[in-house]
Amino acid sequence: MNNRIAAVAGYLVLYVILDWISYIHPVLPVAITPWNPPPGLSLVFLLRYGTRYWPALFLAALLAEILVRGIPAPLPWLAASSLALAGCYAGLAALLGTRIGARFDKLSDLTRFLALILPGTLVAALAYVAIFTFAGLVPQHEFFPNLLRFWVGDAIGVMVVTPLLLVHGAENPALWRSLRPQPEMLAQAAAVLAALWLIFGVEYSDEFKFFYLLFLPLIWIAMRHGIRGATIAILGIQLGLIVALEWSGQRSAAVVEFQLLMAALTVTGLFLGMAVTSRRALEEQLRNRQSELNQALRMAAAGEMTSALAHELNQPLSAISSYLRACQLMLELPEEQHPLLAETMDKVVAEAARAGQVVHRLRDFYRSGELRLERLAMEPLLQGGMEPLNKRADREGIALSLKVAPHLPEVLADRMQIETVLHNLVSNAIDACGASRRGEIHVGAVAEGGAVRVCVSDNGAGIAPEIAAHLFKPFATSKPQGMGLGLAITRSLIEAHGGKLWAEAGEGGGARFCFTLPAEFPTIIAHGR
Amino acid sequence: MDDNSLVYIVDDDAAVRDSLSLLLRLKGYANRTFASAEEFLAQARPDWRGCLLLDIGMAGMDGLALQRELANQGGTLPIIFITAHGDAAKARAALKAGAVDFLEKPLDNEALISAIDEALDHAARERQASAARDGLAARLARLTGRERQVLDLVVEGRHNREIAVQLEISPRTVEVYKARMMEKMQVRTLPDLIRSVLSAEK
Repeated sequence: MNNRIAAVAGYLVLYVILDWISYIHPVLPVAITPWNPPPGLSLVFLLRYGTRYWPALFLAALLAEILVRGIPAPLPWLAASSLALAGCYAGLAALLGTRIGARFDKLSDLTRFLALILPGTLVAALAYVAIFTFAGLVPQHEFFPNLLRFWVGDAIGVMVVTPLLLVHGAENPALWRSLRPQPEMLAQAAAVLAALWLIFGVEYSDEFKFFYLLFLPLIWIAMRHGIRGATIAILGIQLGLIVALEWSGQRSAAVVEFQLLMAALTVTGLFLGMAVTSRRALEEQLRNRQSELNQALRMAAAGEMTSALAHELNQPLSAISSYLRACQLMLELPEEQHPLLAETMDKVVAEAARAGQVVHRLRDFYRSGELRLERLAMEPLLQGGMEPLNKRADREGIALSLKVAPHLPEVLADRMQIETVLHNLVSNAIDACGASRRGEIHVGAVAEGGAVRVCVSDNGAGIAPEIAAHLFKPFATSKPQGMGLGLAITRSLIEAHGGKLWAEAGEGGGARFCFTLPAEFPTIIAHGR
Repeated sequence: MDDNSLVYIVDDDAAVRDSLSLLLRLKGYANRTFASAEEFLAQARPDWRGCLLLDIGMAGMDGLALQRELANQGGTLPIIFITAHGDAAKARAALKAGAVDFLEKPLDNEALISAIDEALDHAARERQASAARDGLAARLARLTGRERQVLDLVVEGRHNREIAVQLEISPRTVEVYKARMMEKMQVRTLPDLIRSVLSAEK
């Protein structure tokens, strides 16, 4: 409850201060001014706390008349005009409340907002100006100019203040943090000041001629910071404009004309800022969904891995369990059966070692731990890596060929890891060929300096430029079900061997992946006598 | 267990095959091992008795395919599936196609033994029924046309007099046919006759 009282009191104080600040170029004796921000504050107040607080609006309007203008007209007329304003804005707030989102972050919110406040402020202006004209306090023949002036003043006041307060609502402290001053913001503020200076500071110029310059910094700010930046910039430009107009001693009529231009600038800035904000929100949403999807795919791949691992481990475990059960049975037999017992227990040990190997292999696959280097001839090594894929290539109608240059030196390598490398590269090539046309994959090995170079070329779709940059980074994948680990692991395996792995464009649009392995030149053995 | 009943182990994992074979031998189950479904099919003969311990996931022809193939050939070996990782869909398919049991590796040896016993029992019962069918067929074949007619009517529950009317012979002659038929069918009483005919029809 105290909060509410504080809010009402705060509103009243702010209202009077805003009214006092903006009390310029009035049509005496009443407050028909070229820009009138208090109604913008009133709308936000009612939207926040509910339209049943409308009497506060009446009180605020009356207080402003008394404190700022010192009772410019008989009290009953002031009371009537304040009541009319309070009623009009309460009605407008009620309409807005049901039609715009509380977060004011959609283009539709902005469109509805403008569509409501333009006629809404016109009705308020009609009521206000009519009351004072009827009272004889303003001349009758000036009814229409005064109506226009009041309407424009209120409309621009609402357009500047209400979106600003709605967007930077107190419940969104994160927004404030993200608006920490950056060098760019200083440059943007400087651009606004420069535009104002060009408009008003340069002599021999008609002020209106350069007004369009203000669009440039506003567009810049709205493009960079969305609706949040735009609303602040609009307030800044509006204040700068008012100060500049006062300082250059403009005629009242010119001030009103400037406010019309300002209204156009404001609408432009708000729409642009809102478009940028909602587009960014959409992009973020898409990004989030994408990352959720990737996460799900990764989990699925991990599940597959787990199930494969379970399969590999269950075989030796099952054998161990059966062997041991058999050993128990043998213990019940006469002593002469014991040689078989020892033999069976050896088998148990062997199976336990096999289970351990499964785990080691898995670890080796992910981080290329210690290498078990052997001297290997290229041809059987490459055949070993390609062999498991022959069937798949056949099924998809892809011609898979291997050509090893004659007299290649041997390499010092870990057979399993190089087979893994080749398996990954050929498997990728099969994926790249797809089933759509006649795929051809060629694996070739040649000697090159002190190394052997192996290339896997395909005639598939090639490497898309957007993928090429992060081809070897973990979790980069172009396959719907890929984890994006294949090439990252492949490269680390090759580098652990002291070789290099790279990708290049192949002939005929396909891709070519090549790796090198340091050659192990055979020691020349002098053959016997 | 019949003397000629065997447990046929088909698994592509050498250690699993070897350990199962050893364990079952020590438990008193004679067995033979095969490294693949193809190897089993190449050697299998229709008169093999016992049960099949079959790994579901093998390279080449898998367990489910072998089950289908055996069913097509009219095989009667009951099948116990074993698998290295639980796959509900495959388990369902296997059991639907008539498998006796579905066991997961690592195998629970007690569960395995009871599954094998059940499968062998099942096979033995199956064989008795089939032997009964074969015996009945042989005995029926020895009946003459008249004796067969009398048998059918007796099993339907007709009295001698009704049979005589229907076959247009004297009740006395019916008596003679009936006695000869009972002798050939190797039964003493009417309930025995009916039981043996019905049990073989199952």
